[in-house]
Amino acid sequence: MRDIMKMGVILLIITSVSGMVLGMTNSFTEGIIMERSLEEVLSSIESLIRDADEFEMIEDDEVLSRNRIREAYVGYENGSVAGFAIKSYAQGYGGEVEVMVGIIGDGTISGVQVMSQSETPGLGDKITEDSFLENYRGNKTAEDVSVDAISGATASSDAVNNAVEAAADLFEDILKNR
Amino acid sequence: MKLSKIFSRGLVMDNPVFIQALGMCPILAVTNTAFNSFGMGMATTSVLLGSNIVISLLRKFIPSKIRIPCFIVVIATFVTMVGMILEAYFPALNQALGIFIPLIVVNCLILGRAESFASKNSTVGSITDALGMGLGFTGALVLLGIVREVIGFGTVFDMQLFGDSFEPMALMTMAPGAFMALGVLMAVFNRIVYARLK
Repeated sequence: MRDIMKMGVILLIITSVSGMVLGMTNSFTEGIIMERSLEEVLSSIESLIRDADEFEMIEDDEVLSRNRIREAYVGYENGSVAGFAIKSYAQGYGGEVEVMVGIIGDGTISGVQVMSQSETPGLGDKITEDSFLENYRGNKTAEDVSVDAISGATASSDAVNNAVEAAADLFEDILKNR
Repeated sequence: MKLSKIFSRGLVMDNPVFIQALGMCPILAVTNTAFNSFGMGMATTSVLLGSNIVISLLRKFIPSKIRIPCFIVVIATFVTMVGMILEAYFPALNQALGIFIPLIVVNCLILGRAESFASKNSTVGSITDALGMGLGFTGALVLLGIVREVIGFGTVFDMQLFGDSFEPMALMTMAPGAFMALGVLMAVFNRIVYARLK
């Protein structure tokens, strides 16, 4: 009995110390991680809605509860709406593919950026290349926005297509009338 | 045992990858480029160094009946710390290694060194052992990463090696390529380096 008590106390000490160390590391790195991901999102939005000088996050449940939509931002130029940046996602071959879609004016795609993906290196991860993503530029949200798949990476290309379509539908259904 | 012998054992004679074949999961999964391999090797080495130091310091304090849970808690603590630091300072590497960073916890190389070395030896010896094993692991991973990157992408550490006529063999960047490259490297290592030193 005493033996079990002793072992329990020792385990308790080791786990509490490790918990404390982890808490300290977390409080130290947390801020940097948050800042970095914010910066990443901001620079992506800025490059997608070039004319805008002010950005605002859309916190509307009607928008955020939609299928495949994660976040949405609106960019203003001198107080009037210049465009939208929509973060959407879809299931790819090796996991989730997350993209940021820029839509300007009355529904022209200004660009698509891949925010995170875990597709097959050398095949599926070609979806992050400009030669693929630039095909979306100039497509109209009122029409079919999808582009031809990369050969050997159909599932990954479809994921980007689905995510971009979800963003285009969001614009057509809700954001356009704002 | 002399320190130099402890160190070189991990590098060559008991190389964790080519001789002991420990930690095969990260070896096969993240060695598609030399840079990823190097990052994985360094992350594993830091965890191994930390866990070997703490476990050798606590070796008289930890009762042998509950040594395994104690080791796992220590190892998991270091892995989580490395994960947080990578996410804060090396986001690109963190993104590339993904789930394999938290999975260092179950890398049997680390628990193996804790059990067979750090729990029985002095702290100085355990540090040497961790460095030898860690660098042996990193070296083998980088070697495998270079082979796979050269054949699979035509690059080394992202530097272009060949002209446009080179057609990369995409198979090498995937799991089957990892098995083939590892098998060949293991055979070569055993035939030349290990046999000669023995």
